[in-house]
Amino acid sequence: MLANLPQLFPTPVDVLKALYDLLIAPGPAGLPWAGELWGNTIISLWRVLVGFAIAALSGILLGVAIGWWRNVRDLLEPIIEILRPIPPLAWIPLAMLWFGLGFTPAVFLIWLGAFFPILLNTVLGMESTPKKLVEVARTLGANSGQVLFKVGVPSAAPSIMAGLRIGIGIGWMCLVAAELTGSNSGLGYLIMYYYSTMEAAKTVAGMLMIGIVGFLMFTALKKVEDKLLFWRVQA
Amino acid sequence: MLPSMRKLAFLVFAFILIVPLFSGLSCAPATPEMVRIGYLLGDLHQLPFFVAQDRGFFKDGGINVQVVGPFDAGPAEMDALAANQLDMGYVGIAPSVLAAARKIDLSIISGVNLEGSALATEIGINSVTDLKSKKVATPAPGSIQYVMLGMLLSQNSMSFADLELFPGTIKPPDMPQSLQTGRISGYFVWEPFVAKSLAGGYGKALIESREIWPGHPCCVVVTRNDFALNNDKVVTAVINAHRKAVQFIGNNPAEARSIAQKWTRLDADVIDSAFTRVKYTYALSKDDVKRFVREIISLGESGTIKPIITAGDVPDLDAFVNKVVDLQYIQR
Repeated sequence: MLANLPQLFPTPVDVLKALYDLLIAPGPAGLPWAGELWGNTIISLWRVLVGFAIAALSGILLGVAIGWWRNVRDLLEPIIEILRPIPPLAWIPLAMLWFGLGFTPAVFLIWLGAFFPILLNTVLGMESTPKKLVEVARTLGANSGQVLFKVGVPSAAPSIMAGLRIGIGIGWMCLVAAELTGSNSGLGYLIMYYYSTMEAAKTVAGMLMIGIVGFLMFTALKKVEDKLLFWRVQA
Repeated sequence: MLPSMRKLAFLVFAFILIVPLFSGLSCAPATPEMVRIGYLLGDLHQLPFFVAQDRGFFKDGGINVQVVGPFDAGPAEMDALAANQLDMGYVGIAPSVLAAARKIDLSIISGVNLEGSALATEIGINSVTDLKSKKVATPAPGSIQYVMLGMLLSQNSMSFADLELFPGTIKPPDMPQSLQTGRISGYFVWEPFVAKSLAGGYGKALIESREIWPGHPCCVVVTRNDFALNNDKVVTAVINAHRKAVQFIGNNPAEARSIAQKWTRLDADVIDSAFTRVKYTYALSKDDVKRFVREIISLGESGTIKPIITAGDVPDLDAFVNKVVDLQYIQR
């Protein structure tokens, strides 16, 4: 066990060297794996952005409808409550069966991961719209569309943004797991590759990149939130 | 509570929290008469292990085998060996050489089989060049099949860049179904997963591994050196049981087939078809291991595959092979 420690626990110096090797072209230039950490990061980012965009669109639209109209909620809530507890990763075999390999099943899994937090937060936000505001708007002559888009949606916005932030985090985690199965690119695949070739430092370097990108995405979304919801009282 | 006491309480609490995290890694080694042996998922190459278990050859030798696995692929098994979760393992020669090159303290002590893998493809594929830009799967990068596919491509003036390769992200048992449903056009894998596509009528063995390298080594038995050092009798008994199992397969093919069926849950015709491509042995050749290391280094240098082992990892090939291959147990 002790003799194998360097293989099991790479040092920070090993990891930094691995990061350098993976970011700056290793070996002869022009080979397909030159600077592969960049390429795989971009592939993963693209997948997560597409999956997240679809999840945001579908989650917010459906969430607004469920949170605003009781009959929509009564109709869809049982289906959602049955599907929601199924972990996204349990869908991997079906995702491969339905969508084949590579991009589409990964996007599907990200959508699954990100969709429910966005949906539930949107529903919660819509349901929490203060009744007083709705009544005031109606008294002032607003029609139902105006009440929905000028009162309901803005009132739910902080909750929707929270859902988006949770959603992108879960989507990112699902992506990495999805890339371990039926994939041949992306950060999850890269980690699996270097785990298989027993290059622990490069595996950790890939994990570090996942952490860094996840942090950057979260920070970017927070900045967007602060800009969009400038009217909120800041602590 | 005084600040110093609070600090102490915190340290104790932290210790209690952290220690169990490492306990799995430093678990006590097996007792002398017990040995933890790993094996690969549904790998018919490892039939001697199944036979020795089934026929009680290990027990006859006075050893208690704790079976660990199955592992999806060799590299994961080698990691378990490095982390002291295994004492010995039935595994491909490629991951064991790779692990040794990564300074994992192990020895290859017996052969298990020669040949026995193939490139299975859709019926419509007639040559290796037909696979250009097609989706092809292999077990994990660094497995023998991954390396042999590299050798095959190199022989056809191609490289991994010419294929859309899925190494390690489709499990071997899922490969036949992936071929059947058209998700991939081919896969290079161990038996019986080639035979399964042939029996199903949706795949063919385009190239067998023996056509790439006749008599190539494949699965081997490895042991952790610190375990072998302190448990010489146990390791000897395991190899004796293994040798007996190999001889049993040669002398009793029908019984061997029914044991194979029991372990893999496959039809007799699939097993029979697979048997035609696998040669069971306990013999091991240092020259074969040397050739294998030379092949893997040169494939990386030529850019056919991403370099896995470089000349820098193995500066003195003879010394490396003499250190890693230990023939004493099969010679006893």
